[in-house]
Amino acid sequence: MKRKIFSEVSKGVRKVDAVALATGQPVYTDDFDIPGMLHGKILRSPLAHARIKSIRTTKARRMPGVEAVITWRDVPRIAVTTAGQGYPEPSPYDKFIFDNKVRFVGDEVALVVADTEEAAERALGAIEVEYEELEPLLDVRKALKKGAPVVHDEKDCRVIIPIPYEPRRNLVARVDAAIGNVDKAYKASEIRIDREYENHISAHSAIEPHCSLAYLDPNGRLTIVSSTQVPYHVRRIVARAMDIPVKRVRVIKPRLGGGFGSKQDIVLEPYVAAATLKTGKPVKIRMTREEVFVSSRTRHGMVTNIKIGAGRDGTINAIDLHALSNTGAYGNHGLTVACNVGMRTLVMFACSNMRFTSDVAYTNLPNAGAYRGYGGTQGILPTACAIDELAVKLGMDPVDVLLKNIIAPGAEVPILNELGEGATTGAPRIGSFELAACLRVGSREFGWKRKLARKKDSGRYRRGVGMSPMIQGSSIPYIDMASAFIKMNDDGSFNLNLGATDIGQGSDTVLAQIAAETLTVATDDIIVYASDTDLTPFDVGAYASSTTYLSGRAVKKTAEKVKELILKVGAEMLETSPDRVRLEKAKVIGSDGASVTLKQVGTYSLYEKHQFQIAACESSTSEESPPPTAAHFVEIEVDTLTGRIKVLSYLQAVECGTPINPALCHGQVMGAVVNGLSYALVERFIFNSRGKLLNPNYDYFKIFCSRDRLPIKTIFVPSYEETGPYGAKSVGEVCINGPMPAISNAIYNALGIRMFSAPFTPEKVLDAIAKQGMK
Amino acid sequence: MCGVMRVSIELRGPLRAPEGGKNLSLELPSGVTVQEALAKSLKYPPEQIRHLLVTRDGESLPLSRKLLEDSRIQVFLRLGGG
Repeated sequence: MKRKIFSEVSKGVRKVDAVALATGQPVYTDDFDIPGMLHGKILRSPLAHARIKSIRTTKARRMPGVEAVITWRDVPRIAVTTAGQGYPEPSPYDKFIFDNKVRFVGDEVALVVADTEEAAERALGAIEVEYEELEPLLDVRKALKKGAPVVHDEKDCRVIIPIPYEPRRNLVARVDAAIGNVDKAYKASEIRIDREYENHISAHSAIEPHCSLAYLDPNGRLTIVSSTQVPYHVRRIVARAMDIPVKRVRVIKPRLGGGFGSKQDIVLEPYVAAATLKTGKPVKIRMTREEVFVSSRTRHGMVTNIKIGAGRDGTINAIDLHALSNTGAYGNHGLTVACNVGMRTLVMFACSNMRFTSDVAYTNLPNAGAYRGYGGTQGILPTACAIDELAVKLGMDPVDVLLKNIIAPGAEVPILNELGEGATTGAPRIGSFELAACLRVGSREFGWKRKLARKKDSGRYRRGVGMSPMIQGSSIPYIDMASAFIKMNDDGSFNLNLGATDIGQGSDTVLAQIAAETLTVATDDIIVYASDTDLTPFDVGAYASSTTYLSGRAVKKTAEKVKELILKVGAEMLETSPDRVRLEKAKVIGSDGASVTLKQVGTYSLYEKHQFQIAACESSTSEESPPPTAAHFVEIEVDTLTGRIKVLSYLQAVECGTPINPALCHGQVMGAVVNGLSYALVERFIFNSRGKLLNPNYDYFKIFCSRDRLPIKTIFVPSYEETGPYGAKSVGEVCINGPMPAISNAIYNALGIRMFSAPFTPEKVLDAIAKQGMK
Repeated sequence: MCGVMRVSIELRGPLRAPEGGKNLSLELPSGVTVQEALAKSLKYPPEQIRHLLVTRDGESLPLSRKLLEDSRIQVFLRLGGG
């Protein structure tokens, strides 16, 4: 592959907001303070499943400082989905801002608005609610069985696209996608694997809790400032929920302290909207950390069943994957997370008999939603572990089994049509796909073959190695859209207005680099303003690993239009024609060597002659979702006395096209791996028998953090995606998928014990040793 | 029967007809468009089915295309998430 030379792209440029963040400038939603602002606190259900028989708010309203108490009687009963997805959303409209039924411990019951948070908090206790408790449904394996409690028995929940939705059976969605004849091919296979795995519910742990505030501007328009990944979807859905026109709503996203998917839903925004519309005053609501655990969003827990049939030479003949997904009390993201389980697993295989099915079910547990990996994390666990088991049965290296069976770059992937992503005539085709290179490079650099062949340890401490492949996507083809606006200033700098949403990953910087590369200026000459629905053009927001790829394409397209205008003006100044000039290092240069600077062009166009604003606004959709790929390798040591797993070394080989900002790219994959290891080894929700979360705090919900100093090495494998801006694909999600299956495979390598559900806590490891015995 | 024709619709992926099932055989007025056929069979307003890919014999059909007698069309739902 010929290496391309860039001037701003592929540089570790300092983040455009670095100084503001590092010096503690007031840039987050909670830093906004408006004179006369009120504070909201939400009364949340103590029960997992109940009807509200009565709710009396008189005492609360009379308490000092209280301006309003809002319940289901005070807001329009309009069903929405809280999923931050493009319209028409593939998630059911099953959420009412306040309802007369509660469906999980932590569900919203009422809102108190007062002059201080403390006054609002005190008034919560004065609201008198009489509940009729109903039997809660807490086990997703029972959700679809006859006689299960019905989570959504209301008449007005529905889906707006033609997909299966049977709320009276707790069925949120069903997926059924197949190619070839899976049953026949599996039955005919010499080696057959048939296993069940389980992924647990978990929390995102963004540093910044959810926070939103709303106010009426001088013209009476509702303005919402929110820690959100999806400002345009917030605008649309809040307008619907409040029954007001979209044109009366403005949404602004300031800096975010992380999201990871937890803010790809409409969480607090309708409540601040309702409060401001009721009181006429600014209102802020911020979640406590406990509320974030209980009442924001979680990862979908899943039970997955996998069957793989193969020949003795390691050729995979059939793959059958089923996922039973627990979406919790509401169905937002239920169908699409389930579809991704199939899309981020089966797609990597060149197998002509594959099937993916899924049932997505309601339970009376916390509301699942988008979480980095988005089904890919749940799907790769059974897939990579089944491949490992197949390799053991065959006496082969799992890397070699994968190399024998994965698709090549440019391959057609017919199962994508059945799963829906990028469905097109014929079959969707994958562009760049360097998973094989990741496997080879990672295997070599890790010393995989040597470590795999190592004599097994005996004694208390036992080492083991494991690996996993993974893929993700880059944007949602045919569905999502991004836009950018660029205007030129008289000093040769540019304003870049983006709908795209920087949630801490650094997309403002990355997109500025793309613009700078196209306009041949320094990134410092691009001034970014983003995520304001009044002032920045439409962008779906930060999800589906779309910002670098899709928003980047929009930025490049816009910058190229601006470049055309610059060349036209520069040519006029140089008294030549536009086809005789070029843009290079911030100058328009004629074929005779004469030149004008961008400062001269800017000043000329604004002040001197034939004045006009050099500017452009362009949009981009995509027809494919080019997958970033990775291969992860881990060496662990298991203390067979305590069950504790220690990560000795971890290597990830990642290909994501051109890393636009290598430093930020590295940050993304490192953060994803730490998140994935944390999920695999320590994170765990503990519920009581009535559905109440017992550990909604970091004292008892453990996560890895920087002090854990995990020994992770990263190698970026070169690739170039022709459809991406300067060859880029995405990188934000893919690496969270690897740790869990890699660790599970390493446990087997160390102990001869397969563990089918995480987290792989010391207690679970000891339990597995006791039940299965070490080999 | 004058002015009526038969159309076969195969729903792929997660798509289902309102009554259930993935294969539909309908009698529709002659000259009906793809969009009209889908709206009738899937019972959804036409503006909410814009993410559908409709093909016939491997050829993509625009929603405005008029169907002929005995048309057999496949309908895919363009979906994705993240």
